[in-house]
Amino acid sequence: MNVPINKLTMIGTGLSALLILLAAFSPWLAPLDPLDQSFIAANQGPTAEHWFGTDSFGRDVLSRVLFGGRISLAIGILAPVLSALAGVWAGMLAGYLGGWTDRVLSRASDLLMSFPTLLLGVMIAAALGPSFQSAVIAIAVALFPRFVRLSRSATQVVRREPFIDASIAAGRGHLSIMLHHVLPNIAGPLVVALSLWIATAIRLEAALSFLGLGAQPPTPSWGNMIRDGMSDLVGDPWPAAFAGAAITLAVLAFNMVGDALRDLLDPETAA
Amino acid sequence: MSLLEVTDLAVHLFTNRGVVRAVDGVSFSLDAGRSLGIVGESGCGKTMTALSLMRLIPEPPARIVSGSIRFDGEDVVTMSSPRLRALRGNQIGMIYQDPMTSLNPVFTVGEQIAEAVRLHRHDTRNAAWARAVEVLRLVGIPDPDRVASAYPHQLSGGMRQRVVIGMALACDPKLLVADEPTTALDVTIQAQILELLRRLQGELGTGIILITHDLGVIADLVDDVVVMYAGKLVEHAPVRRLFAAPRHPYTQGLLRSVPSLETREHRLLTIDGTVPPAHAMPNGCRFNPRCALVRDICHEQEPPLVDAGGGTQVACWALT
Amino acid sequence: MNAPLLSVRGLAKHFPIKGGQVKAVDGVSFEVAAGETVALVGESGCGKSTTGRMLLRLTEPSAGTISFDGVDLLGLGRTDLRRRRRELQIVFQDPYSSLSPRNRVEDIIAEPLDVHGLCASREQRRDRVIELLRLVGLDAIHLRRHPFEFSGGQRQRIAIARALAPQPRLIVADEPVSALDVSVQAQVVNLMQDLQEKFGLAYVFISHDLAVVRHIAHRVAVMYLGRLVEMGSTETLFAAPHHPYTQALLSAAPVADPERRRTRIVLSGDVPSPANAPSGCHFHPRCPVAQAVCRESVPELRDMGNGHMAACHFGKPFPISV
Repeated sequence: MNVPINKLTMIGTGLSALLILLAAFSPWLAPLDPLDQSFIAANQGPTAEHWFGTDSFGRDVLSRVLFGGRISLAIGILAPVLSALAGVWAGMLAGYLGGWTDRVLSRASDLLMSFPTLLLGVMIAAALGPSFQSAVIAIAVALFPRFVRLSRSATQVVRREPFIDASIAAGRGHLSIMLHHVLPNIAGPLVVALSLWIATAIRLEAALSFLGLGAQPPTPSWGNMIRDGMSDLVGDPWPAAFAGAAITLAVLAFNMVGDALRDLLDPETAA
Repeated sequence: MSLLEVTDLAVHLFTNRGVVRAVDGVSFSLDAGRSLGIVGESGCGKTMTALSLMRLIPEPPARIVSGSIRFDGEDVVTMSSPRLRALRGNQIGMIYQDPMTSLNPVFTVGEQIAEAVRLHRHDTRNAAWARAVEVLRLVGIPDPDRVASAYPHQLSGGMRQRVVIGMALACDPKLLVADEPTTALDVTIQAQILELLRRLQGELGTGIILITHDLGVIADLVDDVVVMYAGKLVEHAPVRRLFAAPRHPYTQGLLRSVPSLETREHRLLTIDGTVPPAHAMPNGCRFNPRCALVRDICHEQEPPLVDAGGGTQVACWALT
Repeated sequence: MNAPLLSVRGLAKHFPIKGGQVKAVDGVSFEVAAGETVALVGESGCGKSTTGRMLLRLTEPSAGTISFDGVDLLGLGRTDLRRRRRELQIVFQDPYSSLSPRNRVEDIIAEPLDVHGLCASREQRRDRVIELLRLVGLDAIHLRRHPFEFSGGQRQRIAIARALAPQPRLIVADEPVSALDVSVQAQVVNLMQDLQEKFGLAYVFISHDLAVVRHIAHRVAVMYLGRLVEMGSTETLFAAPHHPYTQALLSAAPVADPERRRTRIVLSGDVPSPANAPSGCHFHPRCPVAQAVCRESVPELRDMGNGHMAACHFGKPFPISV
């Protein structure tokens, strides 16, 4: 049982790393300029010259997928990481201190949770006006209550462990206990959740861009490539198909990373 | 004829880290109406032995790899599933350590006992309920009619354990297997439960197998004792004999390390070291790393169980 | 007599519940001298653990005073309290959950040293941890291991080493050997006694196991439903218990001797929940010698001679025969 799971996590980790590297080095890797239009070469399927074909403006789809990955992955990773930094602390404070701190933070995150994640993201992005930054903020805020909730409940469990009392007895202060004892013990589930929500954020980014609320054309992102491709899905399905495949691959890869990290972070299974 | 005859029982656990010989060549027998205590520290295989008696061991990873368990002449090890189900709860009753988790929180205790009765006796609902109230009275519950309609969480720990004992006895079993029945209870409540078990055994003539780590409980309740260490039976003796003249170095160490209520020694005597990890058992006698009487042969061969007089059987090279 | 190291007066903890309050601890007073072991014994719900936690202010008391070395602990501000905690340490029952599973032994034991800045360098820190490991019968090879690599007894040794690290004068030990096997239990009890002799430590030893208490304690305080019912020297209390509850408790304890299967005092009924404690003397519904007065008035803890205290309206040792 153990062997195939470990292989899967290895594949997931490798795949995520590969996707990130491809996106990061896209200016050097991309065969053509993703913005170069050529009306003569428009709507071609895969050829020797254009491996992934061209879109309705005759732009090279492979180059656009590579460059698009920069935007999609940057938003997809940055937003959940920012969200986690804030949400984990808020959740730890709520779970550790309890009382009114807990009530205020829990009510606030419950309020945010009552909106569907995508709807919340759309509302924020629409309010801020479409741009890269507003997509990051929208997704970060949409995921924030989930980190609060997870970190709060995990903290409440750890808070009751005698080793926390032992640490108080040793003379440690509460903030220091949160940093030294609570955080490392809740890190496992949080990191797993983080990688799962990176996958979610990649999908959210695609959805926002698809709705025209993400990175603005002509800058490619996987979401707006699907949006562009939708106009002629029957005549030339290739741009949308390759962008969709990239999203699927990235979501799958980060989901698998979650499992890998979970095993790594547990000292018992690591040994 | 013995009610229960366990011969050369071996239960192995098949884990990722290798095969653990959790119970290794254990033999004992119990006559009807008698009581036997199985005592040992954590990891000695006592609970695995008890669970094997009704084939309740978790399979996998555990498996009975050899030996026989003859209950009333029939071998439990090779018994068919329907026959096994007819045995469990009917001819052999089981009492677990934690009375909270062995009762279902969503049914009243009367319903649970009645259900156990109907499973084996095909009584009518009313007859089964009447039997439930009857056994609750038998186990010393005041106002059994009212308690039968109560949910487990409405009862105290001691009351719950009485209910569990009542449920185990509901079908008049010939054998009661009690796994640490008083460990989760307070001292004054433990005294009540031990008193109850003693009275029930006298009244009903039920055979009892008592699994415990507590030598005080053993001394209090049983006729014969089996001492286990790291999966092996190391000593088997009548209870008075065991406490008066323990033969195995492990039994001696165990008895010496119990502090006394009457006297105060300057230091408690201990057994050096700890129980070896299950997947790294020493060769030969498994007690050899902690034994003061160790010799060469102890590292090479497992000692056989031999007669040491006075009804005691012991597995130790120093005594053969 | 010298001033006691620890002096507790009228300590109480009341938890609010729906429609009232639970008096988990209700006016407990006792003293612990330097180098002395005082045991708190009783059954579940008697408030012994809550009392122990209050001594370190892990649970804030509702009322009472705790004076440690002449300083009122309850009057201390946060910073002063943290500094004082060096001298008061705690060992818990469950050696599996009292050590942070992610830390290595070195960091676990060094935590009090780090917090109080007691080590000037990494080398000094390591040397001190190795010294502590040796004190509790472990070795330098264990430094880099995680708690899960140890047996229960070894983990309890690590917990004791951590408690010893800041050189405390008093250790609250909350059921420190209850989770351990008999042979290992004896090892840990011996270790605690050795350490006491070596460092002049005082222990507040919380336990339900009377035989262990008999062995380790100089004085014993018996609790029932939040109140002290009897307190005295170990010798006197075990030889001539005054309170009927103490008598029943001693009589109920199983003895590892089949020759002494005896008629015990088996108390009827259950330990009531502290949420609805009986009126007057809390013990009266289970007491074999209760009278009308026991229902109505709470017996004070009174001196029965030689400093032996008992809270019973009938103040003499009367062996109950049943």
